Amino acid sequence: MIYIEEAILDHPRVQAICERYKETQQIICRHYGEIFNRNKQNFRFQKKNPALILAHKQNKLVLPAPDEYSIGGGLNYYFSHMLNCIYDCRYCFLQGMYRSAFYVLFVNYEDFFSQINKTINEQPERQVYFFSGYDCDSLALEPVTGFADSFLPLFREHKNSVIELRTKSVQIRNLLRQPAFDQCVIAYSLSPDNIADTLELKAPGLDKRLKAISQLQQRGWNIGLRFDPVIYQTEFKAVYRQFFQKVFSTVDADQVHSVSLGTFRMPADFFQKMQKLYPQEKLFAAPLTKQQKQIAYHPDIDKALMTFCQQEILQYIPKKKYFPCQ
Amino acid sequence: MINLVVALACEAKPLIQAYSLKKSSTMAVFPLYVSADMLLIVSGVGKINAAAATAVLATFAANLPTQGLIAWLNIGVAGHRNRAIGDEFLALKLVDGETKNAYYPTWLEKLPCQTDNLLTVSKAIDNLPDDYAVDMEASGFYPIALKYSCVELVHIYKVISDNAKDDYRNISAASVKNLINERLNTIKKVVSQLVLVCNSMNRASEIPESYQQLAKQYHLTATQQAQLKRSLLQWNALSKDCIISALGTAKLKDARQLLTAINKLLANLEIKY
Repeated sequence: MIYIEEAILDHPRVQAICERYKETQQIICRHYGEIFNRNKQNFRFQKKNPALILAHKQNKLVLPAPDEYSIGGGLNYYFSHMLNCIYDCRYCFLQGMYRSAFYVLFVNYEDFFSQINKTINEQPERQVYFFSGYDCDSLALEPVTGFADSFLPLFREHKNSVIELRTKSVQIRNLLRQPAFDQCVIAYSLSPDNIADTLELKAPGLDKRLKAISQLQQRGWNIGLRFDPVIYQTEFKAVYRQFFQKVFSTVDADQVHSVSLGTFRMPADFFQKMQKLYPQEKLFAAPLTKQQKQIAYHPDIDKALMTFCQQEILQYIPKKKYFPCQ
Repeated sequence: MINLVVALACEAKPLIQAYSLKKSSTMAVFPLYVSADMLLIVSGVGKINAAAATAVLATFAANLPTQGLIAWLNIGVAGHRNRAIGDEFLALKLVDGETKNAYYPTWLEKLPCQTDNLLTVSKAIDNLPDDYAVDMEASGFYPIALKYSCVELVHIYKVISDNAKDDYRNISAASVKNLINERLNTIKKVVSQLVLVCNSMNRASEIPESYQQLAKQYHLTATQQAQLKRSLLQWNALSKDCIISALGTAKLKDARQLLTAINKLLANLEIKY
């Protein structure tokens, strides 16, 4: 099913997507919120067969990023050309944040370009970091959205900008076809095999992601490694030690741009919704506590996870490339 | 469990027969027909009747022992400028002709029939629009049914009874009954798919069996009931063993001791992926 805002029916991107999915039922709506923001929706069941909503983003196209996004830059912003993700990671905060599992694609890329340009030009003396891939996976729908192909030329032009594309996807053909450039970081979220297999549903497995990273590194692309969220399990030391060995035996650590680390954590209201959606989920049955509107592992467990993983990671990369998230 | 709302007795008759529904004597205002897993109410024509009957049916259903979500389906006839008489569809966009409020029922499974837009009007109209079928109940039914269920479980199925060539003045009770009768196969598919989704949703939020057993043995406050449910769900997530067996024969005086014992057991469980 494709829902389309009536005001953008003639938009070239809308027409191209409709042409690609000729057989798919199309429904015209006034505003994407009529579908996406409705009450009484079941995220879990929608996830089994999500519809696509084509929309026009009116405002707040570029927003200041929270401090914990930082990978060493001064000014941090994020933007989302899409809401929701084709993967179904059980720990993902989107399940708690949105009422609908449908994908919203904002097709007015040019308005994003203007806003990004404006943001960069307002700070010509400073390095401006942009993050994509927090409200969706940056690359997973690349064949449909052409997101990277459309947005990267903009950042290529601006030497004082950096774009991070956060992803688990192996849709890297478009990236491999073009020359790498310094201001772009392809940031891969990675988890041990047993977590990827059980909690990162529909996402490419660890081996496939590592292969994609390797191919991108060979073509000179900057790679970020995001070990976030680290998931507690009784044998976490053995599991994560083996995991880091595997990652750093494939990835060229010298060519890694940055590594971030964070344990599973979630705003309490999001967590409550997620727990209702999946009441028998192992992840939510772990020793979690609420601290200042945030659900996280019990402090002892959290500290043990962070300390152990940090020690392991720092065996492979220098401290200046390491960014803990708390 | 599914609740059907139909406007007319002639629309209801084929359904009553197909699902072996029995007339309920408890309802005086709107005729009501029941079986173990289906309720059908005859609302009368118009969106106000449809809304009222839907609310009455929801109240009736709430007093039944069945727990969890209920699917809702409005079945009836509609006009369409171009569609042939006898065409059928599920409405995936519904607009109220007066308020212009739009609703988008969400069908999660493979579509069992065609779909269309539906416009609900207060009075029958001669000039049917090009891009909407037209009925007189759906926008009364939908928002009320939604209050008691969710967007994935509230739907509207219509059979075309009139069009630009053959207008609504020619509709008779017999022709409507025939139209519904001829479409019973699709209606059964729609109903069974909806019930399937509804049952899966209810299973996904089922309370562990052990809860009832323990709740019978111990006096629980409302908070303790919630804590016990949560702990038992955690237990089921982490262990295949039965909690009752795991608790063993230990003598637990009250609910507080029970919860402490379960939490101790939970703390010792291995977390493994």
